[in-house]
Formats: sequence, C-alpha cells, structure tokens
Amino acid sequence: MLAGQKYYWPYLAIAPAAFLLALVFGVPVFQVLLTSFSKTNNAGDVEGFNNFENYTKLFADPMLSVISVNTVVWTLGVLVPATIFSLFIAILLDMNLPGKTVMRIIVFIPWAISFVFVSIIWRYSFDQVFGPLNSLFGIILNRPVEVAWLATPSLAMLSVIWVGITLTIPFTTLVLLAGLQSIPQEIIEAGWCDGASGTKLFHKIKFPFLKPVLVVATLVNLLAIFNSFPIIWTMTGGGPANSTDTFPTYLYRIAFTDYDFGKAGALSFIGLIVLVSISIFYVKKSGTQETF
Amino acid sequence: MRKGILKRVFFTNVLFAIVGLLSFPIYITLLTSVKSGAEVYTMPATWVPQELLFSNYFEIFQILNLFSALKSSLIVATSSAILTVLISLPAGYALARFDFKGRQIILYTILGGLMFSPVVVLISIYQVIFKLGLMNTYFALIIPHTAFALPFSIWLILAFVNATPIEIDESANLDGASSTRVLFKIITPIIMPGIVTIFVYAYIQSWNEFLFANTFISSDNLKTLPVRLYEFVGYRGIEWQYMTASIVFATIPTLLLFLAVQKWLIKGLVSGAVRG
Repeated sequence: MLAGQKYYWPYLAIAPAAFLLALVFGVPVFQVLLTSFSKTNNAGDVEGFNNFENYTKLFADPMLSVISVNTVVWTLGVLVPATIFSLFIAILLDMNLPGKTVMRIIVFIPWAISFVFVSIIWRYSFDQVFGPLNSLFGIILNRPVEVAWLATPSLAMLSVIWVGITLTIPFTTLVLLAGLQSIPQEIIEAGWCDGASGTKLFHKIKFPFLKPVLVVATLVNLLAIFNSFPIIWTMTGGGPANSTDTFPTYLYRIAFTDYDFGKAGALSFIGLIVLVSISIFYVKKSGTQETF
Repeated sequence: MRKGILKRVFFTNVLFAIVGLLSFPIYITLLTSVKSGAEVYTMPATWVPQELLFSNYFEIFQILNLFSALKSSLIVATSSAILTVLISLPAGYALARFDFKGRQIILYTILGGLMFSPVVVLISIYQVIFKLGLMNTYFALIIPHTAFALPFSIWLILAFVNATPIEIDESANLDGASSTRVLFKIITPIIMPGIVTIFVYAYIQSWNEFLFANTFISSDNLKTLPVRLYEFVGYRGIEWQYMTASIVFATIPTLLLFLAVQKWLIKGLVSGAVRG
C-alpha cells in the first residue's frame, strides 16, 4: 500500500465510479422498495402509500403461479444440460487435441454476438414453413416435416430452452476449462504413474479440484438465466398462451404494456430478494474475502 | 500406443461435431444472407445456396435504413467504452494501491454489482432517467451501459495493477510525482492490455445491449442496431435474406474487436468469474 500521498486522493479517484454505481445500483434498490408500497401513475411517479395493495394485487394474480412454474422450468431446463455439456466440452478442450486454440475461439465467439441477433436467427430456423430446421428433419426422415415449434405451447418452451443452452455453453465452458488447466501438472502425472485410468483420474483427482469452480459457474449462470430477457422476448414474447412467460418477460409487460409500476415494483422486489439470497450464498461459498 | 492414437482421433471428431453443432446459427446466418428472396421462400429450406447473391449486403441500406441505427450504436458504444475506461482506471488503481476507510465496502459493492440483473432494476432506472429528463437521449443508454460495465472493469484494472510491482510507484513518489501523475504517466502504459480489454468489453456489452435500449429510446432515428433489427422481425413483411445480411453487418465490428483482444478478454472474464 502506498503512503505519504494526500489522504483524499483515493476518494477522489473512486468518486466517479461510486457516484455512477450508486445512481444505477444503489438508488434503484430503495426505489424498488418504495415503489412497491406506493400508488403510482403512468410515468412511474410515486403518489403515496397504498396499504400493500400492489402486493395483494400481485399475489391475487393467477399469472404469478404460471410464471413461477415457467421460470423454474426455464432456469433448470437451461442450467442443468448447459452445465453437463460445458463440462464435457471443457474436458475435450483440455485433452490437447489438434486445433484446440481455434476450437476455443469458436466456442467463445457467440459471447461477442448480441443475444438478440442469435435469437432472431433461431426464430427463423424454427419457422414452421420456411425454417431450415424442419427442412433438416425432413431430409433425415425423408418426408415433409412441418412442426410449429414456436406456436405449440409445449414445444415453444423446449425451443427457447434449447437456445438458452447454446448461449450458456460458451462462458461456462471457458470457466470450467480454466479450472481444469489450473490443476497442477505434477498431481495429474502422479496419478498416471500410480496407474489410474482416464475415468478414475477424473473422478478422484480432477473433479475435487474443479468442484469450487463448478459451484461458482453454476451460481453465476443461475442468476443470469433466471433474469434472462432477450432470448424469450425475441423468440416468443412470452407466448403462445403464456407458455414461455417468465419472471423478466412478465415484469416487462406489467411495467411497459400495462404501465402498472406499483405491481411491477412489487414483483421486482421479490426478484431482488431471490437475487440477493443467491448472491449471499454465492459470496459465502466462493470465499471471496480471501481474494482481497 | 495404437489405442491412444485411435482415442485421440475419436475425441477430436467428437469435439469437431459439437463445435459444428454450436456453429449452426452462424452457418444459417451466412447461408441465408446470400440467398435470393425466391430461394428463402422455397419449401423446404435449402442447405446449400443455389447462387451466391452478395447484392443483399448493398440492398439492406436502401431497404432497412440502417445508417441511423449504426450511428446510434457507434455513439452509444464508443461513449460508454471511453467513460468506462476513464472511471474504472483511477478507481481500480486507488483500490489496488491505497488502504483507506470504506475500501472493503466499495469492494463488496463492486462484487455485488457483478451479480446485478438489469431486469430487476429496470423500472427504477427508468424512474431515475425520467426524473433527470434524459428519456429518449443517448445518455439514457450511456449511463446504465457504463455502470453495468464498471464492476468487471474495476476488478480487471485492480488485478492488472496488483500484478505490477509497487516499487515502481514508490520510487516515482519519492522523486516527487503525484499519484495522478504516476497513474497516467507510469502505470497506464504498463497495464495497456488491461485497458484495451475493458474498452472492448464495455464496447461489446453496450453494442449488444437490448433491454435498456428497447425501453429508454422511442425515436426511430435514435434507436440502436439490436432494437432496430428486433423491430423488423415483428414487421410481417420482413425478408430473411435482408435480416441475416443486416445481422452479419451489425456483428462484424464487435467480432473484429473481440478477435483482436480475445486472449486477454477470455483470461479476464474467466478469472473474474472464478474469483469474484
């Protein structure tokens, strides 16, 4: 640590960042709470306490149970397969196969492309009449296929989950790959010398090392998928018949289609509590205190 | 040894197959962007284009009027990226080199910010932007885009400064240089890869951001590329060959930036997630 400098220098250096973080993260937390207990107008202005009416209205809304179930299905439906696939790809990329650098870049490229663009492409690919996906299945099955992927309630959820999985894989794979590559080489070699097979080596030596990284990646993904907006919004807009409506898409409609900011505030606050609970769990698990 | 080689060949093929599967949307985009309108609307869809029609890439400018969206995206992303660098550089340096009251709280706030979701605070930021009278201006996007890029950027600067020996700063201080001077004249050149990385990170995040851009901007001529292209999907007469050509066009800038710094960026993102 530096000493002997003017004591206020670090405060000046941090002031702009602190101001912006307070404006965009700090104020909103209190604002959400205040709004959720208030009567609001169309511009979202607060007009006095309204006796928990927003919460009563929210809990009386039959949609709440629909979006709760959908959000859990969506989150776990993306998280579990994406984690398994990513682990598998990370192990393959860790095997020193030819072309691994190029592969690594290709796996990570979707991160640099807008989720909206990728989702638009998938929306086209799933198109019932002109979509390439039905055409592909038609070639494989050797008969015309016309599945209405995004217009059938049960298939729509499956389709958006698939896109969610493909967009979760890049980041997860790279985190897991970094975890695998941070395992000291001597330990792996010692395992080989003791005659451990590839599978056994993974179970007994690599996996214990990878576990903390896996926990962190899973929690980061859990938050991101739970709150993911553009994929579902672009592909189905929450439809058909609310079959893909989740927490963020429903929240968006309450606020910006119905202009019921009080109710949206109440739903935001519930989301915030879920978010903070997971975050506290996350910070405790990953032991970030030691980093600094 | 023979068995080992066979195994490697097998796993290489599996890896190629998976990466191929993940590249499906990229192939579809490129394929459709060179098809003719007639070919796009034949059933079933073709998997190899009958002819390569690069004229789509010129026609999108007349048909979709992308210039205003391109201008908006460039202004918003460049401003956000510059602001992110200017704000996170001194903050990251101060957090790395000074022990002061409130340091821990600020560090935890930054960690918390990494986990914040735009959706949950969207309504409140909407109210803040509205009260500040910034609705439907570029500032309505530049402010939240910068704020959401800050946690990761400050963290990365902190890590880069920590990797630089503190003796450099100390000897400069003994020679009478102020901390501001040390930061901009001595540390900045040393951690340039880190600075370029956060610039690109903030740029890509801002360029691709949809939720705020779709909510805070209502004038057509101020809308950014993702919002503009999203709206064309809703419009019934959209022709996919123009849509996909536009997406390729809108993705090339971020893709080039990404490829230029991918080594540092991947390293930073990965260690950021693993550690904090």
